[in-house]
Amino acid sequence: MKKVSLANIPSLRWMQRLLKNRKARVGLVIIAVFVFIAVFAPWIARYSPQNTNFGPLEPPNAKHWFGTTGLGQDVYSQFVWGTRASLLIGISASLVSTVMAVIFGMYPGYVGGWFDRVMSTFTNIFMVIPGLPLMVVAAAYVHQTSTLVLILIIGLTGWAGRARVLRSQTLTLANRDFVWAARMSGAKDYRILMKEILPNMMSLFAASLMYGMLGAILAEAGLEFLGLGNLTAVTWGTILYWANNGGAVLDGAWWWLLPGGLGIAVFGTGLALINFALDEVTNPRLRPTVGNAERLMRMWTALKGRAAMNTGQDGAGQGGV
Amino acid sequence: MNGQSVTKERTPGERAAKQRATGVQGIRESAATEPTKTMASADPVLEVDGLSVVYESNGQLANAVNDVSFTVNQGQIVGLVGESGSGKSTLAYAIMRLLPANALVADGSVRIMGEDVYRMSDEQLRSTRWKRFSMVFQSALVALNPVLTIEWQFMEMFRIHRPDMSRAEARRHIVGLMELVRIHPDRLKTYPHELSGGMRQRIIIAMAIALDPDLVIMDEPTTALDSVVQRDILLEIRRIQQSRKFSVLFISHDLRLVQFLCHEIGVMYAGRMVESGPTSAIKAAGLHHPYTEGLIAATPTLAKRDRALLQGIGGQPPDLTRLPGGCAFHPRCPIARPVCKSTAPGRVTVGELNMLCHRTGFDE
Amino acid sequence: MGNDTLLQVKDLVVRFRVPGSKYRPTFIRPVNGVTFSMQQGEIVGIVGESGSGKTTLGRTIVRMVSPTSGEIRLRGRDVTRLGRRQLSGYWREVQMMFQDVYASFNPVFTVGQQLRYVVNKHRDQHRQDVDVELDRLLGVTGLTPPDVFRRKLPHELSGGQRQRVALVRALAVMPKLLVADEPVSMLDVSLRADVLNLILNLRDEFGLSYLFITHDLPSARAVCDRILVMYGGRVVEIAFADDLLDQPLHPYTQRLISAADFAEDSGLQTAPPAEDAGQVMAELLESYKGCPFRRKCPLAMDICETVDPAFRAVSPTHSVACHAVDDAVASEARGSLQ
Repeated sequence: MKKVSLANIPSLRWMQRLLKNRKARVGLVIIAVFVFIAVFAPWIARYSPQNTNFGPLEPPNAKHWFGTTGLGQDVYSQFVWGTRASLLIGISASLVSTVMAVIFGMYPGYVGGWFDRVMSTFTNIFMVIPGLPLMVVAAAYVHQTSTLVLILIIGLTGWAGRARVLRSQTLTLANRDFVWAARMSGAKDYRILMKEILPNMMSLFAASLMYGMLGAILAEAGLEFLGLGNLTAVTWGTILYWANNGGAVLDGAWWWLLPGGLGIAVFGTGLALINFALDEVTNPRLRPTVGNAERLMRMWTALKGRAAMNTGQDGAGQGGV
Repeated sequence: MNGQSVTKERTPGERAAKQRATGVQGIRESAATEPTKTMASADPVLEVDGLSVVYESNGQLANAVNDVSFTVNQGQIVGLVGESGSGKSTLAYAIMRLLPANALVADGSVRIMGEDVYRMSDEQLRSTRWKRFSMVFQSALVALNPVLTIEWQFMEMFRIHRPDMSRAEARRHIVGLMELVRIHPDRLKTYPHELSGGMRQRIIIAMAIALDPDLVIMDEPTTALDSVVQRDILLEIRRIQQSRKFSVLFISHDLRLVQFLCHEIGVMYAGRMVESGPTSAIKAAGLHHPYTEGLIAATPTLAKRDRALLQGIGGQPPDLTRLPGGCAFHPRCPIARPVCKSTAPGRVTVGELNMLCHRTGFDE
Repeated sequence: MGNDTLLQVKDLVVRFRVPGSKYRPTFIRPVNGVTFSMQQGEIVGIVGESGSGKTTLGRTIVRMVSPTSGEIRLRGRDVTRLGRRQLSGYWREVQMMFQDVYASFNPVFTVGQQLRYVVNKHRDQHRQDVDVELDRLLGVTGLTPPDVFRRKLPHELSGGQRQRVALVRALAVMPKLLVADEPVSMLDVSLRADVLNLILNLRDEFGLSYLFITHDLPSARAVCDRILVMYGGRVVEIAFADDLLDQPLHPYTQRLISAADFAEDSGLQTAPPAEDAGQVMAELLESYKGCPFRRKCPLAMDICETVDPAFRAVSPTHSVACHAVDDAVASEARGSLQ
């Protein structure tokens, strides 16, 4: 247990395979770039995002790489700080909704009985309520939408679908023979849930987390765009909101609109790529089989050569009869 | 499909010819004459000549079938017996030219009714497969579409392969087939899951012989079934084979079944055919390949009352990517000698049997 | 029955609703009035085809399935209605080997990780001692060298090796009774003998008793002291293994024996026509009347249609449930057995 590598932890071997997948690599690079921007925003941004001391609606130039807004803010700096805020909301909201999904899906699915039925009904109710209107109502109801409130609203409305996925997976795993075998070996419920069931749905869990993140970032952008978020904050959503309100389209100030939209699209693509790769890695049927006749033939010839050398006299053993 | 088209180019006939020249022998000494298309009773239906199949497993080369030759004659049932990993199923898929993309026919040839399967065009193969040679798989659930009725699946087959047949004609044909495998034609309207395992396997057999093929390859057709049903199916196969006179290549891990059903038997171990000959000779006491002897001793039978009589072979089947040198069976062989570790055994003939072994008494 | 009685099963019934029959419920009884008992150290075979209820009987005895009525006693203690918490105590005495061994292992943990937990749980030992004990058990079942097998994942093992690991897991609990569901049916015939011999050796070494569930009579013959034949949820015949094979009284037992006989052309008689069997065997339906085997029985009489044959002893150690076995046959059997 001294050398820690993914190959040594069998429950994480899918991660090792994931790192070999090309789609996953591209996706991970994209995510890494955004995370880098978010973490080092203060050093990467050139100005304060709220600084309005520049000329309005300047197209991209050496001083303002992404141009300026109608209020004279630096779009590049806004994009960098917006990345930080959007990622923060996305990741946090996704964590909140995943915790909800575990509470309402996985745990009741394992315990079963009346508890499962009650929680399941509750989940179903949440599923039939359309997500965006619910968020809009909730956001409009809470007057001061701080970032924290936004995270909670997005997180607490977007878990139902994933709770169902986790529940059905838990249900099938809970009656598998290896779970029964663990019970008969004396394992308690907590251990069975954490050690037997959870490791078998790690990839589903990861996919759920990423799907949630994508959903949360889109929801944040949506709410902000409708003006229901915290408009004093700088996020991809508020960039779009102000650009739209400031008439960026009418003025042909494409540089004002583009970074927010592109940020969402590219980050979303990154998450989607990882999700596809996860599917391929964990679902063997989607894995492309590599058939390389040339290489097989070479390997075969080499094998024959070795065999002939081992027998000493080539063909002496084959003569027979 | 990419792998297959490459495979075709990679299996030139001259290699097969070379193999024949070096004197590879099979169950029957298959004369390396030009294929004839006349159908006399002793005509070979299937000729496998020096066949080697490799596939890639985790970046390593697995030698699943290694220089195997045998012949199945008209109206004959030939059995291949071996444990999982002996290459017997790979051999079956190679004959059908149904190998997955990570496998390759490295050497040798497969001829059905004199035609080289690996020299057929894709179009030729499509029309020939199922019409001239068909396959019964281990699991009927894999072969049958769960959402279509049995009748629909039969009709579809006739629509594709026998477009000359009218619907009424095809239906008459299907009813006849159902009667042949003794299932009430009412069952045609049902879905696969509504049938028992034995009935599904009968349906699969009916489908395999529907187009009057010359050869039916059966890969563990009864392994998933209970012993009572298993025996019924074996009797059924034998009865139908006797009335329709097609040839069968029957593959199983159970020596009892193969001895019960087949005229000739080949015993496979680690990709090689280590012993072959007529069933009577395989059953007879006397010198056999040590692996065959192990199989006989390890098979539980009702006659083995004394518990000491049941003796396992011991050890584990070999890893095809890391075959032991010399004779692949030597680590498990009770009579292994130093020469078995160093040198691959040559083929020897003892009476009607053909063996790959260094056993004393076999050497000339 | 003396003090050595390990397991007593009395009038055991398991009743299920057929899935999908919610509005017009249909019930089946995969276990229907099963009674038998076994001694400490005995290996009892439960033989029957799929749908005979043998797997459900096994799963009920280990209490994965709750019985509808009847009684299960382990060493005299009633275990029929144990609750969740009490069951973990019961499972210290009764363990299960699953039909699909591969599915009975967590695919993401190594053999060592899974087994060490069980050994640790059931032995009050230090860490090093747990490893020593684990290696000993691996050695006993022929998985040598142990450190190689400890590092393997379940899918890296061959069929025979998985059976051995399953045996180690069961042994680690130090149970009295091991219910083995088709332990060799998924193995190649060439590997069965080794596992069967191992099962016999472990009985002697660990004082284990087995319920050996299988459809393959020759495998049962190789290890069992007594054999219990099931059909349609019922026990149709029980006897010592030798008696059952020499003197099979029930027509179904006779059929099982002939199915296992691959002697020279003994089976040239044509196969009987295919039977109908959908998802649910008619014999298991609660509404079914008469002898479960009557529809396939060559000896079926009028009485078989309506009256379920009683299970009766033709000798102290041989019982059968069949109308066709009349008193004359029974007494003849009794005579030949004496």
